[in-house]
This record gives sequence, C-alpha cells and structure tokens, in this order.
Amino acid sequence: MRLNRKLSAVGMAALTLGAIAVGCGQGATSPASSSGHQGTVQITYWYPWGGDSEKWDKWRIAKFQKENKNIKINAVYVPPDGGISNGKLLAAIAGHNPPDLVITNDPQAGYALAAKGALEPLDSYLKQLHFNEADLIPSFQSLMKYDGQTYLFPEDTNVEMLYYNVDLFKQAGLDPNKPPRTIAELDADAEKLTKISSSGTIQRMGFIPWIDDGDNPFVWSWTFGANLYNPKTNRMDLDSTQMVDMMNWMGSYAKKYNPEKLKSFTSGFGGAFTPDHPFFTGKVAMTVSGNWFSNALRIYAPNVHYKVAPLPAPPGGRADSTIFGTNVFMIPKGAKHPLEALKFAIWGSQGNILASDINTWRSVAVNQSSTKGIKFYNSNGQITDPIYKTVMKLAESPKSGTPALTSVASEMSNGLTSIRDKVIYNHADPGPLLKALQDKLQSEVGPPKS
Amino acid sequence: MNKRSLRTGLLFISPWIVGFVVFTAYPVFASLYYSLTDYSMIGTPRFVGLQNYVNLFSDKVFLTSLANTLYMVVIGLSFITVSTVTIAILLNNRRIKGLSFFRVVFFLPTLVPTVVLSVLWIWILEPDTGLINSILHLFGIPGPGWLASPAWAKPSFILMALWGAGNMIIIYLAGLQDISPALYEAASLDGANAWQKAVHITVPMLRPVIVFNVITGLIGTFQSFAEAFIMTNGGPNNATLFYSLYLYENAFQYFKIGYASAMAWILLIIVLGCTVLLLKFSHQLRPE
Repeated sequence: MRLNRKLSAVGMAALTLGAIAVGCGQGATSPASSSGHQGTVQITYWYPWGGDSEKWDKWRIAKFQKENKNIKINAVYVPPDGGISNGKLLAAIAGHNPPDLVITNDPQAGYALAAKGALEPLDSYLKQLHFNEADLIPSFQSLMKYDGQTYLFPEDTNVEMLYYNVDLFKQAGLDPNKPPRTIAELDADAEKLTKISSSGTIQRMGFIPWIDDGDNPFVWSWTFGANLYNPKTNRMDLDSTQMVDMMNWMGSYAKKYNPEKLKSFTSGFGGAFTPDHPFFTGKVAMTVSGNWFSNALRIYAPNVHYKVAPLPAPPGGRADSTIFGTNVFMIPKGAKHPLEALKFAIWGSQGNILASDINTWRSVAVNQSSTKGIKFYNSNGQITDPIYKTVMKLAESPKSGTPALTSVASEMSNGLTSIRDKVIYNHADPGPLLKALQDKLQSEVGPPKS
Repeated sequence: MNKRSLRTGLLFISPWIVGFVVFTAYPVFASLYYSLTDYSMIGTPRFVGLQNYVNLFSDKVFLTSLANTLYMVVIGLSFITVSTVTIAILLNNRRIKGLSFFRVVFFLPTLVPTVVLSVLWIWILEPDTGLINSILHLFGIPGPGWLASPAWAKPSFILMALWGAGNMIIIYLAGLQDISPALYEAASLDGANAWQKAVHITVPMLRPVIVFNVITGLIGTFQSFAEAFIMTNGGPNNATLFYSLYLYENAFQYFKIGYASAMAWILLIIVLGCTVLLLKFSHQLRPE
C-alpha cells in the first residue's frame, strides 16, 4: 500500500518533468522547421489574409510545391498582420522557434523589426538566388533596406486614392470629370456635397478627412509634404508647418460640423466589406481608400457610380503621390531555412503569379518584369482600365514612398492619432503637442546625426 | 515518518509546484528584473536602473491611462457596488413575484463571453440606431454619442459592467441569506422602517461580502483590457485608454518590454496598496 503510494508519487513527478522536457525540447516537437524525408525541406510561412487572398495564396503555394518537389510549405494564418502587432512573431523569434518566412501588410511594423535586429539580412541569399534588383520599382529601395542591408522583400503594393461618387457630384452641380486637385478645392466641393437637415442632423457629408484610410496619420501627412523621419540623419520632424497645417485642416472640419455629431454620424458606418459602408450608402460623397476598395465596391455596391483620383494636395505638398501600403516578405532571425524561404518569396512575387490576386484587388506588383495575366492591360502592354491607370501612375510616381521608416513607427502613429483627436475634440493647438511627441520619439531613437 | 510523508506529499503536488515555479514565479521575478532594463525581447536587456519608472511619471499618456483607470475604480466601482447591493436586496425580498425568474435574468449576462458582450454593446450604444438612443428618442431625449464621445465613453463602460455584474449580485444574495431573520424581527419590534433596517442591519452585516466584492472588483477593474481593446481601442481622444491597454501597447506594439514591466509593477503596488487600505478600513468599521 505504502509502496504503491510512493511509486505513484514518484511517477507523478517523473511525468511532470517528462512533460516539461518534451515541451522545452528544441525542435523535437516544433513543426516550424522539421526536415521531413531526406532532401525535403519544410518551411513554415505565416500570412495575414483570409478570404480570396488566402485562396489565391494556397494556389500559389501548391504551384510552387509542384515546381519545387524538395520544398514543402507549412502555411499558417496569423492575423492581423503576420503576428507583429500582437507580439506573436517577436515571441517566436525570442523563443528561438520562428517561422521561416512571414508576409505582413504593415511595412512600417516590418521595418521596425528590422531596426530592432529581429530579422535576417537577405543580401547574401538574394545573391545566391541571382536576384536582379533592377526588376523592382525604384521607390521601394528605402523600404527594403535598413542601415545598408536588405531586410524586407516587397511583394505587391497598395496605393491611396480619392474615391468620389459621380452621381452625387452631378446632383451638387459639380463636374465629375474634374475631381478636386487641391485642398481648397476639396473643401469647396465637400461643402457643396454636404447635406444637413433643417433640424441640424447630418444627412450626408461631402468629405470627412479622418475616416477610412484618412484615419492613418501617415496618409495626409505625406500628402501635405511632411518628412516625419529621415533614416539617414536619424532626425524626427513632427512639428513642421506641414504637420501643423494638416492638423489644423482636420480641425477645421470638426469646428465646422461639431466633432461629436460627426463622430455619431460616422460611428454607425459599416466597414469596407459590409454593405453599409457610408460610401456605398451615399452618406459620404468622397473618401480616401486603397485600390482594394474597388473590389469592395464591386461586391457590395455594384450600382454606385464612382471614379478615383490622386489625393488633393495643398501648395507645397506632394501632389499626385501616395504612401505605399506594401505587402512585404521577411525572414525572422533564427529561421532554419532562409534560402528556401526567400526562393519562394521571389518566385511568388512575379507578376504572372500575382496576376489573379492583382485582378481582384488592383494592387501593383513591385516586380514589374512581367504583366502577363493581369487583365487591366491589353496585348500591347497598355493599361485599359481607368482605375488601374491612376493606380499605376501613383505607384510609379517618384514622389510616392513609404514614410516613418523607424523603429518607433507604431508609437508615432498612435501619438499622431491621439493629437488629431485632441485637435478635433478639444480644439487643441497642434504645435506644442507635436513638439512634445517629437521630443519623446527623438529621445527614443537617440540624437540625430549631423 | 513525518519527513517521509512530507516528501511523498511534495512529490504528489510536484506538477503544481513545477507549474507554479516555471509559469508564475519565474515570470514574476523576471519581470521585476526587466523593469530595470531597456529590453525589446530581441538581444540582451540593457540595465538602466530606475529610468523606466522615472520616465513613466513624465509620460502624459501613462498618466492619462492611470487617471482613466482610477475613474473606473472610484466612480465606476462605487456605482456598481451601490447598484448591485440594491438589486440583491430587492432580489432577496420574498414578497416580489417571480423572484427566481428575476434572479436568473440578472445572472444571465455573466454567461456571455467578453468578446460577444463587447460586440453586443457596440450595437446597443450605437449613437444613431442603437437600442439605448432609440429608446431615449421615443421620449424626445437626444441620446449622447456614448462610445463616440470622449465624455460619455467611460460611463458607457460602467453601464456595460453593471449589466454583466451578475456574479456580484449572486455573492451579495448569498451574503444576505446568511443574515439572521431574528435581527430584522427585533428591529421591527423596535419600530424600525425598511430604510433603517437596510442601513443599520443589512449593510453592516453584509460588510465582509462587500469588502470581498470590492477587492475583487478593484483588481478586475485595474486589469480590464478586452472590452476597451475590442470596442474603442483606447479612443476617442484616449478617453478609454485604460492601464492594461497601454501596458499592452508598450509591450507588444512598441516592443518596450522593460517599460511595460515597470508599468506592471506599479500596477501591482497600486492594487496591493488599495487592498491593504480597504482591509484596514473595513477592520475599523467592524461592528463590536
């Protein structure tokens, strides 16, 4: 009896230790990087998208595996951005068990990881794989490199445009072939398109600067001409006149229409992939969104007659430009099979592989060596689709780019949003607030280089 | 013999001991060390002494998040405590018809998972078409913007917390049923009315239960995260940026593990301080 008890106690202890040993065993149970049959390499690939893009990505993986029998891809869905903003990726890297390849839709966050030293430099692998850098659109160079080394490999990019409702333009007596080009024109058109009932409730807004992608503080600061951070000099420049002007411009909408009324009006809005998005229901006449929004319109509002235009810019701003919302591949530090992972990334970023995804979302392949299969081109390689014309014009503009390439990008983004809220709700003076944020972030990245 | 049973006993509970040491004790002490470092989870932590703590108290966003959380504790928890005690007293009144039905109704919301509850309340609090404002509209009252308004966002969360406070009500009910009816009888004979009985018998007798609920509520409020993360993400104008949410942002969005660890330790000290104070305070009030 006593012996039995003792035995089972020892057994219990052994079981616990055994379980821990197995749990901590490096690689033994990790599916991340186990090599299967002889000569076959299994790579783990994290991707952030569901729906059509996921289906397309699975197709791409199957095609790749068919052409490369020695590489197996274990694809894992990790929303919202490949596990960056919820700490999953960093935890995996710190735990020495990272995936081999991650694609994220948040290039700033990816860049921040590179700056933290959490990613593998790609240059030597790119060389081994005979990759030709000239195939890529040149404006992506700055995004790819940190401190002279390549960390991020761009797949395709989204651009920001002004979507406007043609029927509402006509109703308001505006010419739908003449979208606003400057901020002054945008404000004037917005006022004409706005409808407020006699009792004071908002029925339609011509334009609200901070909804949809206008909520991303980098969008308008880019258009207004701000240079938030210069990686070469390590200098933050958040309290420039451009930034103050931008904040005050947003504040002017709040002052004109009462911020809480506006917020109440907007909080009933559905997201881009719901039938009650305000642009679909005619509650806003113009809005800022990415090229992908055209697919949402096709699905949820096929009867809305709309056009797109580059974002209006103030004098001295960046007219006919966009910030890039690029999907980038990266290889975490400690990945077991970086070469095979990068091989898949390069192969999967060619125009003909991306074609069906581009046909859905109207995104732009950063590798422009092939446009085969993309339906917006005719057989002579000319663009026939009017929306895609604007998309490509913006993507190839030398004025377009990726702002806030710094390790503190998310903090900068949250900080700017918070200042915008203070300007909107409290009519705060943006200058001192921007200065305070600037000093805080500058102290975090260290002093600027002269 | 004794030593032997001790050893056997320890071996038997070894799964728990090992689990506690590895998954609780070690992380707790590691976070104390990290709070004294500059650490981003990648590379080696750099020792910076108390710098994180010093920086925190000059970080305006941190102070805002602390103020928001204290608002929820002081105003929110007081409101919820008074309301739940009142509801429990009503639910303990045998003269109310359909008592068990009402008890179920008040307890039911606690079965709803937080995420579902949050999404549900986003709809209820919708300024234009939400349930609450639609009802207010019937009476000609223009409802506030609720989650859309910096002034009303926190009260919205309090309202939602009250709706989900069925657990507290159940505990109060159990406490109420422990109070001897003889006390009420005696008070009735002395001519006490309902209000006097509630103030002089119910509340004092219920004090240990109230203290328990307030302490657990306090800890819960300081740790509350999911609702704000889902419903407002700290907005508008940082009005619902609660302590844990800002801690999460620092740790997992800004990768400032050291800074976030320092926040966690300050939170521990605040909660510990409040709890000790509460216990002391309730001790002094103990009826002789």
